[in-house]
Amino acid sequence: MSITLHVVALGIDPDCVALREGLETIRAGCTHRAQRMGEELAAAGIADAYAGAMKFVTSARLISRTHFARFLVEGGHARDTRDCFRRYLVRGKPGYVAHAWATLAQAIGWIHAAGGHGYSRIRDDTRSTGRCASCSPEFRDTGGDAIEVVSGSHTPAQYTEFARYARVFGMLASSGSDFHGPGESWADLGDTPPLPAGVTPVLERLVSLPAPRTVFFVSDRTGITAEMLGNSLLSQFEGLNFQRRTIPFVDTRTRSTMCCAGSTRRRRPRAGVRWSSASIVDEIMSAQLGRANAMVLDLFQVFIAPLEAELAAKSSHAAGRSHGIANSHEYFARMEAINFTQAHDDGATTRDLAKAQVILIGVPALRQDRQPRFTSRLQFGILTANFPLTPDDFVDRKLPRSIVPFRRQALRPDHRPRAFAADPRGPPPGQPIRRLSPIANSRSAKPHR
Amino acid sequence: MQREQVPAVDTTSRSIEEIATTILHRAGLQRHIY
Repeated sequence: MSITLHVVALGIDPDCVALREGLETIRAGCTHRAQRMGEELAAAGIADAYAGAMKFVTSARLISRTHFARFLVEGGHARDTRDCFRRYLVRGKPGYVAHAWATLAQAIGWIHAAGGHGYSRIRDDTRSTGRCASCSPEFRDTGGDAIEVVSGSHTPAQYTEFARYARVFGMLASSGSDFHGPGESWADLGDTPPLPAGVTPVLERLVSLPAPRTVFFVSDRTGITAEMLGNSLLSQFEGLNFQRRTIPFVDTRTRSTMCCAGSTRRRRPRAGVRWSSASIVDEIMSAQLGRANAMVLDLFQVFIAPLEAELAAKSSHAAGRSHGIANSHEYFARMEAINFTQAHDDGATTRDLAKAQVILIGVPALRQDRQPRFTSRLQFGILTANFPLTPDDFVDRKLPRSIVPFRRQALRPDHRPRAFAADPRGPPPGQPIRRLSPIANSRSAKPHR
Repeated sequence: MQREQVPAVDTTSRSIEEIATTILHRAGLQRHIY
């Protein structure tokens, strides 16, 4: 069963497009859910619940279960809102309608996109479930920054437990009353105890961080080159927060003018200047962008002039040379490599293994989660095959027969293919073990051994 | 793997990019950036 976490974003840029679009999808779903809740309650004998709940709503797009609870209490269907939730509004009760909230990865992604230091504060129903889903590796690994150590819905024992978790895993700590209204909440305003010692309050970190700066990657083609070089430059400023936005295909003077206008219209961030990394071949468009309300680093023009001088040759000034289809031979070679790698993933086939330039054998640490990304990183026109080892391979203590011929070739340095495997000796002393055990591969499909 | 003399890469503390680059470098393969 899925678990619902409440994630609160702090220190965000409210104008962030990704955040606004994401929230819009949730809000649209809220209205639909509320209408269905009204229908379900009507079926249970409580008429006009949707209209009644709307009387308590301050924003029509943010109607929630709490508004239905207030309507039901007012109508005498429950003693108070907590009683109302227990009887009508939780899973399995007549007024409950499931809602498709964002996934954890989506929510954290939006928060981080909206300024890079969107700290997430979480609350989950630990009092009733007895466990804290936010204290899970998934929340940490997805990028969750903070956990709510003290809350009106936590017990004192849980304060201690969650504080220890925050300290051990280096997460920030937050405190909240979980206050919804007078008489409706576990704790009233001002009754929340202070955070335990030894944790870093999320607000302390928040006020010490600079406001995010907006960075545009502007390109006349895909923007991949501008993104790669621009992000490499930005990575040298670890203490700063950047909100990145890529504007591809700025390949006409009209579009470059619109791009400048859009940059000017956007509200200026608190920190002052915005920064733009541009990769534009056309000199006139490049000059247009130079007049934008931003500091502009034209990655193309900066390097072309000195290169032309050094090489004593004029550049072609053609767009789309890096990531286009201009060189059809190389392009189709890359497509063939992608097709080959997909066909030879997970030991799916041993046909044409002789064509492989790299055969990944075993690599248990790369199996499951990292393998697809790894293969894509290796996908710069390289014919790659992935051949998983499973427990029965370890029983024989031999390589699978279909791999043996290529292992021998691999020993000759001037011949391909070569075979590589994850180091079976394990990590150096003191290093954590992250790789999966071979047992984890027991369900791998390998139909052609 | 050692007995079979298959080259090995310790993947524990390396990023995806570092592992991929290590393999290509040791195999003598040229990465094609598109």
